[in-house]
Amino acid sequence: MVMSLTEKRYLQECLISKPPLRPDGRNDDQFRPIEVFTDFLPTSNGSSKIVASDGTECVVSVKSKVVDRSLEDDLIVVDVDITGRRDDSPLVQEIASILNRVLLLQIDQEQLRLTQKYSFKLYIDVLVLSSYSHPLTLISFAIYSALNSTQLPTLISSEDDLDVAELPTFHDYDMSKLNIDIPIMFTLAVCGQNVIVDPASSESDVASNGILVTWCKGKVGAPIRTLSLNEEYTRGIHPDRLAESIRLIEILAPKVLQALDG
Amino acid sequence: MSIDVLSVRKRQEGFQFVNELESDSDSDVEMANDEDKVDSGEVAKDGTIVTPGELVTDDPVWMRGHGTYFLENQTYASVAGTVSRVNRLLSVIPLRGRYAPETGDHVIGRIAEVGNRRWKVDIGAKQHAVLMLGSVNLPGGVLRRKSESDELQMRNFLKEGDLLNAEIQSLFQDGSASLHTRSLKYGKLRNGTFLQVRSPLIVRSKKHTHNLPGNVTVILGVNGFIWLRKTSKVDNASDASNVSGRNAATLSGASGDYKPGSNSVSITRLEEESSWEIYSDKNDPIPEAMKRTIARYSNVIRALAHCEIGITEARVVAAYEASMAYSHVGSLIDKDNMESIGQDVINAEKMRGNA
Repeated sequence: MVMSLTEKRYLQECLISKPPLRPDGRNDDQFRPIEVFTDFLPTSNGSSKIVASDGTECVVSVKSKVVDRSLEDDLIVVDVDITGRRDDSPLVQEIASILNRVLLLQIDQEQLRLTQKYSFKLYIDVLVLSSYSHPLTLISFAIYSALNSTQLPTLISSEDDLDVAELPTFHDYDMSKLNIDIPIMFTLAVCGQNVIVDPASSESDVASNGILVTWCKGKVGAPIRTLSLNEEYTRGIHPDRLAESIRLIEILAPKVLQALDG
Repeated sequence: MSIDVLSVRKRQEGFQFVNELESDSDSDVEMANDEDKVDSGEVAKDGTIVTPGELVTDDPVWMRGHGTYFLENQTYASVAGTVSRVNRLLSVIPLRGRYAPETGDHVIGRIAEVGNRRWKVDIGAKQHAVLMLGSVNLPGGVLRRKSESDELQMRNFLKEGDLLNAEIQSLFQDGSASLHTRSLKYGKLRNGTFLQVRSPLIVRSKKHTHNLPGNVTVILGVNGFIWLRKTSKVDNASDASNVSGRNAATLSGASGDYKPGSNSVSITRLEEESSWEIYSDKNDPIPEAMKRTIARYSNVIRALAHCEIGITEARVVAAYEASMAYSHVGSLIDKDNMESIGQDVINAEKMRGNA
């Protein structure tokens, strides 16, 4: 969004004051309300749609396939599509590569194992229908809800198929819930001495930097990195801000997960 | 802390649209079939809600206005909206859609492009509006001719992204608008924050600049663009004397740096510098408390828009007062709280017998 100089200055002044005065009056640790729909795509194993209060909308579908483990290395593939952006644009590629790496790194591939020989491979398709702010947090929440609602067919053949040349067979209609630890990611914006979660688009436009913090298995995990939220004001960050954002996420993440699960 | 970090609404049963109404829609459909059906020779009543393709009248005497089409001597609605009848002219005013400019509207726009002797301004309409270099007040002069040097420094006055309020001077054949800022009320916007609502929500009135309690001024652009700012001296002056359309000669007197005699003397350097202020990019110092008030106003206006309540000065003030029940401004982004504020405003109006 283009803003005038006076708007930007006003916003910057507001955000660097202690405590930060956000344009919609939120606390520094307050997210915007979201709506979650799960399990609405009949042809996929798990799906979710998240709508944020600013109109950002994201649909995630999870599909699975049985693959031979000796032939496939990566058991999770994420595909990202953002409306209005080319597939080779930096934002789409950055988000896709972050998601691919985080999910492969943090999800234990053993949890997808079906038999000695075969495994489930998950295809996660992310479609951002409209985005007004950096969509990574929202995508990550959507992936979390989609994977949590994923139902995979129940295996009825034997698990030990190393010696027998047998393809896995499944129950006709019984499904079992996918049980994996799903990482979630938070974007934070650094404004002066302050760190704020879930920056809105106007806040991103004047932020001096963005920090991405990943939360997995009850603790902050890799990767923690910076995100450039705008091209105009991006500056380096003080290590204190990094420590502060990690501390903030350590307090927030359990509450967010509780809200998403509850 | 009492406020939720993240409020999540879950919907499990099947796919639902976000904007789905919670009321049962069956009764509406029946009503449309039983009572509102257009019989031959009749015309849908003024204010009836019609959907695209619905028969409005089969009487050929009606003139067909916007939002209608004509097929085999019958007039149908081409948009979803309300039927409007003016004399013999039948039109359908759409419920949603882009802002349609009308001459005399007070709008807020954002500069999209600087061109040859004109600015292109985004006012949320189908086309960009045009602001001619000749339709603005330039620094240093009362109403002087625009010179070539003015053309060269157009970006010093207004550049891409700048917000301004203006009046629609005239409309072109294709429906795009031409703006002017030839009044003290109009010009570049400073000292505040911008928000946007759907344009049909803004109720047209005589005045669109209102001084609200808490030293905040709101400009409700007819195009749905809203500017909230610290009340300036000019705002106070226009409120006190209520003189609209002050001419540019009084500008330098009212905008702060008033020097006795500077109006009568020909254009001095001092005056030239002071009137550059109208194109300044600097904000005045604004106290924290006022910024908080501005944030609260911006949230209550969003709440009104969320509840689809037409936005007027009285309602903004009423909603602001109702919002005082929530001490934390950030709690106003919650859907339930927005709806309860909207309900409060409606109830208050019903009590007074306005609704």
